[in-house]
Amino acid sequence: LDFDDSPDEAAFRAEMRAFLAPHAPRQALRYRGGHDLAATLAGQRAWQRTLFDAGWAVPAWPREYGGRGLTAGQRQIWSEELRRIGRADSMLGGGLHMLGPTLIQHGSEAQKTRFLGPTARGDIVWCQLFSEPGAGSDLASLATHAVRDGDDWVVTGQKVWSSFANHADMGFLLARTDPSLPKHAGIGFFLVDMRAPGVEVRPLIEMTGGNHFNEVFLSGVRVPGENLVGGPGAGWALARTTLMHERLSIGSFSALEPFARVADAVRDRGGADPVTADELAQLYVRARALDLLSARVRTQLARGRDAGPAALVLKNAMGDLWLAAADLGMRTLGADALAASSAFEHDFLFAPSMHIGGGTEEVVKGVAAEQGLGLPREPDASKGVPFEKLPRSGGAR
Amino acid sequence: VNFAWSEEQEEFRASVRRFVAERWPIAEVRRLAASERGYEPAVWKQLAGELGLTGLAVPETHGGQGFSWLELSIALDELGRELAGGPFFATACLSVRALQQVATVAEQAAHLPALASGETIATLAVLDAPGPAQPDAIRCRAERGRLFGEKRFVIDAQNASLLLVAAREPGSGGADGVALFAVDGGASGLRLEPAPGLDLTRRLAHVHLDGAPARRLGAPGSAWPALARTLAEGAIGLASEQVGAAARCLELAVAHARERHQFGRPIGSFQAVKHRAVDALTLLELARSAAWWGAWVASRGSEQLDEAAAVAHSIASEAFEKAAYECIHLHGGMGFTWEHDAHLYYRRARADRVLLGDPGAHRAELARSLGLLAPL
Repeated sequence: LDFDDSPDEAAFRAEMRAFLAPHAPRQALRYRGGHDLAATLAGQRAWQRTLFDAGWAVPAWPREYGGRGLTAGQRQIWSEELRRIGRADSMLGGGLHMLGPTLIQHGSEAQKTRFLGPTARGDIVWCQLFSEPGAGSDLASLATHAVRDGDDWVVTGQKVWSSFANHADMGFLLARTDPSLPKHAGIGFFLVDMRAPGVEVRPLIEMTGGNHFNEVFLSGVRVPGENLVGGPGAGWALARTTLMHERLSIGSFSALEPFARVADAVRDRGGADPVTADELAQLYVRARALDLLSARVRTQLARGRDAGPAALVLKNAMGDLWLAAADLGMRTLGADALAASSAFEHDFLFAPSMHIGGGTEEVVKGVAAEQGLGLPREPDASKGVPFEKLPRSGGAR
Repeated sequence: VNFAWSEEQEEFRASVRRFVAERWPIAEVRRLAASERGYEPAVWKQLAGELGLTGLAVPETHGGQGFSWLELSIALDELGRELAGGPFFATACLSVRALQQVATVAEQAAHLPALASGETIATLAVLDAPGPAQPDAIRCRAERGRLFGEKRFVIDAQNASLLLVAAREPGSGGADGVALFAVDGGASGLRLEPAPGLDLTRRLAHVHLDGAPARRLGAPGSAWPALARTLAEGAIGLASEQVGAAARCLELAVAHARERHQFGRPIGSFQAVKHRAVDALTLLELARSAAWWGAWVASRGSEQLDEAAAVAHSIASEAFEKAAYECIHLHGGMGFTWEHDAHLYYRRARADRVLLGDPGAHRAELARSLGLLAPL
């Protein structure tokens, strides 16, 4: 247990800072509502390329795909330093934090060679094609189907809540390859060209007024056989890897940063009353503990160990923190919160999504209870029943 | 940067866990709760001698093991699981650290070896009563080598043969004039009034000082900063204990939820039950992370000590109270019985919140230091 840099680590940090100081982007790349998404993406891509060319893009990946073979401590320093300069890669997250780790674990050599490098460089922007109108928390009940036709698969169905699909080059998609099998067994994991014929993307406007989400309609989309990852029935196991990484990625947001924004606003207004000050201090305590928890989990993972229950509670803890920070931020503004584009309007409107995206609060708690605490699974009426025999609601609207 | 324990530290943790499970499990704690001392001298001797726990953080030059606060935090965590240890916290954590930070080298040489060996049980009374760490909360007076006043709710005072008592020079105020004094357990002018109450597993007593002879430790009148540090370290030590106890509460609750069947299935398969357990787990993992960091800060004597104490004790109090409550609740009616151990944890959790100053007081200080509190 050591929170200080060793001499080697201090040298590593200095090296990173020496690189970042002249290269870091001038303006924040973070999406905070109201921005032009295309411009945000261009900025994030350019910065990712700069990182990649210097070898700093994906240091945790294997060396042959652009990684650096860092120690657990060095990885921690790397993420701290990128945070310090306000790193943002939200629009590249699908590739960097979800698909990349999934391919590293489950992809064929050919798939890794073809996709990982360009993904690390920000050349391929990825979107997730998992959820469907009839398959949300019960993701494995998805109905989009893939039918084999010669060497290809032909995919038809509808996906929803696909972040940045309207800016993506490729999508990673779950589709049913065999409806005669129980729902978890007959799912494949495909890599789909978003510009292929039959792919139609319709943007959705969220309650913030912004657009992350999209509906994606797939009508007889041809996917080459080489773009199936794992076997035709391996999709669910891969999806679990992807979802775990998605939750870790959300859980690795900085917790002290939302606190700091609230604290700045409070100080600008000359401080808070004792009752509110205690709530702010509680928020600080939570944020500090959460950043520590997140660092602890990342240390375990970087050492190739199972991070245990700690990893499974991160995402919900981050959601709780964002909601509390947004609430305190809005209260700090007083009547100024009524104005358009107030300092905490976006945080306030965005916060509810934290307990929905990447698995709802309830689903994530279920996973933590079953995998982390060893509590028994909920009886599932669809267990062992062929998918085609299941009663369904609303899937084919 | 390394947020993981070494293999040696993990082995040490395992050896303490085995010892506690065999020699000082909660069933034994419960039996001893009704006894005079609250601990079994033979087991104390083993804990101190064979395991060397009481001397963990004492330097080898003074007869200790020469480990750091990190190892001490592991021992506290493991003892906390079973609410075990009796006078360990007061002796090996509070008193050892007070002596190390206040006493001269010669005084340390005179006292620490007996604490390290477990021969002397000691305790520390800084404030006149548990509360925020303010020097004005010390009103006990020291006059011509004798102490006058009262210290309330002193941990294991009735077991201690050495009491370390903070008192001030007559007429002094604030941080000035505070010194630490050694008082022998059987001294004349010292009256101990046992204060059994909420927490059945920790011995407390009110200490009445009516001219008890005392020897000053360290320099006259300047002990407050070191005592304030000791109290902050104490809060961090308490957080380690709280984390161990919270983890045990959750284990008990989960084990029951897996076994107990209603409506034809284990109650732990119901979402409503799972979610309560995970709420406790989330707080526990946050608290564990904060307590580990706190222990590291304490081991470094870093300037972040006050912040670490506020963070660790605040979140660990919350985590332990939540886990202790859920342990009762998830056991249903059985959890509400005297016979079940859940109430021992529930009582301890609430007592730990106030034993060394409420987390609210820590947070008030934190808010002030972060510039969040408006001037009144």
